Amino acid sequence: MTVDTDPRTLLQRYCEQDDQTAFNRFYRGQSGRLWGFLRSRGCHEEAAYDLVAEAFSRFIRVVCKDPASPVALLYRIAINLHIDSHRRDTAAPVTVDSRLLDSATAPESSEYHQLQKQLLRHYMNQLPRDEQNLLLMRYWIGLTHREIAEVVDMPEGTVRRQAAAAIHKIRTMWQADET
Amino acid sequence: MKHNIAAPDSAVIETLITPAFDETYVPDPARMQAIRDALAHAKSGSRSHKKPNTLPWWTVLLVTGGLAVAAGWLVNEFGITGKPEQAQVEQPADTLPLMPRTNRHLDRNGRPDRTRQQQDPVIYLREAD
Repeated sequence: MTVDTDPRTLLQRYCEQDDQTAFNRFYRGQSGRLWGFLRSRGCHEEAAYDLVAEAFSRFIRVVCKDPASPVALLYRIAINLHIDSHRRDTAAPVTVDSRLLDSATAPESSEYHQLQKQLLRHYMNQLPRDEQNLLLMRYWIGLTHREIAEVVDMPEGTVRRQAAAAIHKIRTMWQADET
Repeated sequence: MKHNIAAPDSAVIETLITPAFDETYVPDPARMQAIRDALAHAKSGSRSHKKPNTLPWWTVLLVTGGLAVAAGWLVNEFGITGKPEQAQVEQPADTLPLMPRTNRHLDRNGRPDRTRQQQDPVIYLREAD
């Protein structure tokens, strides 16, 4: 017996059959990342838990009216809540471990990969907030360009172009710091 | 910040985003489960109070009673009975039965009792006699 993890299927089962197990799977699959997403957007730890609870609470009330893109809906709610309650927050600065900078030379070493990830977060942090959100939703949360377009209320083509441009900016900044 | 890590190409950057953020932000599983439990509790609580698509009995009673009262008023006010209304023909004045002259104040002999007539408030009857 296979366990379905597709968010849309899970939410359809929840809405049509009141399947609480399906909703639990959806929650387990999304809540942790949503919390991490909010933390990466500058939300304090406790505030992030509160926002997750509030976002899911609102999500439950509306999702069954249109369960076509449940993850996009969840993030739209969460981003709006975050904007409302933490307008002045900024993303926490990313620190790069200086010891790794000195030691990570072998491209296959774990230190090298660790440093790669730290640098990536550092350069992403330099991007405008909207572009950061867009990249995180696309490549971390796994939303499609169309779903992101729903979340940010922009045409799909614009989302696609902005995502490509943001990746290009990261590369440009990265190359500029290379010795 | 200078470093000696070569810039990855765009595809690698895209694949690096997930591990870079997944490893950085890890929530407390117990806190997440507590939120889930609270959601389930709130939902079941709200369900026990809400009965969608059913009207409370007193609303139905109130509406039905109101309609009945309104119908009764209409029948009384406008004579709406559902039966065809019969035309009322006014009788000509000369066919009306003559009103008998007053015989309210007669004495034992059948003559007008003047005393009682004078106490009567209807003056014209008194004068007619």
